[in-house]
Amino acid sequence: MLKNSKISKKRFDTSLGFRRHRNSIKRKSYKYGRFKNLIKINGSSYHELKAPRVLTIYSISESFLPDDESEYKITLDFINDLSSSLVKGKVVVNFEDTESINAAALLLLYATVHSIQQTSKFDSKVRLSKSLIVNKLIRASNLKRLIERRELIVPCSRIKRLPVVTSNDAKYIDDIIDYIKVRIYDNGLDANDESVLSDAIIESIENVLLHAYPKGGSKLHKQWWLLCDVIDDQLFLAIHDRGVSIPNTVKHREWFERAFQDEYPEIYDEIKNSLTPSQKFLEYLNIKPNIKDKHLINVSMTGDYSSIKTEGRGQGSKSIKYLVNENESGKLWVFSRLGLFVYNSEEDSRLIDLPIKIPGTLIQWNIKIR
Amino acid sequence: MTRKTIKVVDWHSTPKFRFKSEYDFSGEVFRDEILVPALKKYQHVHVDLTGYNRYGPSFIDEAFANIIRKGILSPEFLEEHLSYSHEHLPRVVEQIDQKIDKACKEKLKG
Repeated sequence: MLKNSKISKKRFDTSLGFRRHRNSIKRKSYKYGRFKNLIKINGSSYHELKAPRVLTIYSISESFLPDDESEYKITLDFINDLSSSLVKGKVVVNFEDTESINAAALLLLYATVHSIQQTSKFDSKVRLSKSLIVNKLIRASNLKRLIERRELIVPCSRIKRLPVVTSNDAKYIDDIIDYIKVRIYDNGLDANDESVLSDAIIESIENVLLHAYPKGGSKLHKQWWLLCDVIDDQLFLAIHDRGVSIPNTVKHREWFERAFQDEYPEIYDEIKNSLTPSQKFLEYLNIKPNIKDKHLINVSMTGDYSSIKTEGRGQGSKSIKYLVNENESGKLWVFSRLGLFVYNSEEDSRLIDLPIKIPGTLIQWNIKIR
Repeated sequence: MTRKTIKVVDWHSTPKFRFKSEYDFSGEVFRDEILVPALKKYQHVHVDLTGYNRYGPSFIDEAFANIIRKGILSPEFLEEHLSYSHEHLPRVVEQIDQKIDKACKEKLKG
């Protein structure tokens, strides 16, 4: 009798109903991403991750109040969710409801997937959007191929649309410039314009290779991603790295203290006056709560403080600023960690706190196509 | 008087970047392996940059201005023994002038 009751208890313990009940109690406290869902494809279970209606990182107000529904936050939440889902297993990235996607968000998305691909073997699929424009961007950028782990389109001037270009050295720089010269300017780029444009592209990529990643790290890990997009008569260029970010690197540049003093003289004097004899400027700066990432990005973008000691290395924003100043609708965006610097001209720039951290740095600017 | 003309594109078709660690055909490599040895060997060196428009500011700075910053040769020596040109791009020549000028000022300041 006793034996029979033990057997029936064991049956109950292992019955489907009990296991479901036990699982539901166990998972009660789990938090799920708002974009996730479970679907079956050919008998295999995939996590479905629904992309938001708008994928953008430009929806930024002056004060950037921490609004849960801001498009910036929704986009970054989605990218972070995708990042954690890909590591765990099978994912369907569903763009069905996506109505618009801009270059910077697309680049961030691409770099996120690409970085994860280096370390984990995920099995994922893409469900395309109802919008033809969105699908065109997803396909042309190589994002669909990347997510589905198919062979990528190689950047060159013969293709209609340049995909996201990525490398960890000088490879593809001339292909990018060739593409812009041949496909976008229809071979109408003169020597001077070609030189000005090249300066900006080369300088931003070189900045990534020299400063974005920890010193002494392998060349293989100094990855950069670039995307160009044409809207009306404007060419948009976005460059992204997943390094240690501008706020983390700028403080260690030899010209930093001088540049900070020029940009924020009152705060500088205040800090200097409160230093103890053994305390250094940088040590104090690290614990000063009102010095935010946006201020540090601002310091990195001002003037030219190159010196003999730094072997002539400037901050690398001069060539881009020149192009932005030449263009009436020119704008430079620098996203890095929790700060954003938006530059229209020397007289008109804004500093903004971001509610969610950007991995590394993303710089975007636009030039007028003549 | 011995003269030497260096055509940069004969050395490499796509030179760029500052350091050897970044690219094998950088400003540093051009300076140390091509330009400075030529300046030491010949009485006058002319660098012809025609044929390529994508040097980038760091290549120019490292190849020319850092000859002065690093104390390899003096500004006076360069003034007398070095000239440069680009048939289609006066901008590059101006860039070299400005970078050399800046390096000279920094050298004077110490």
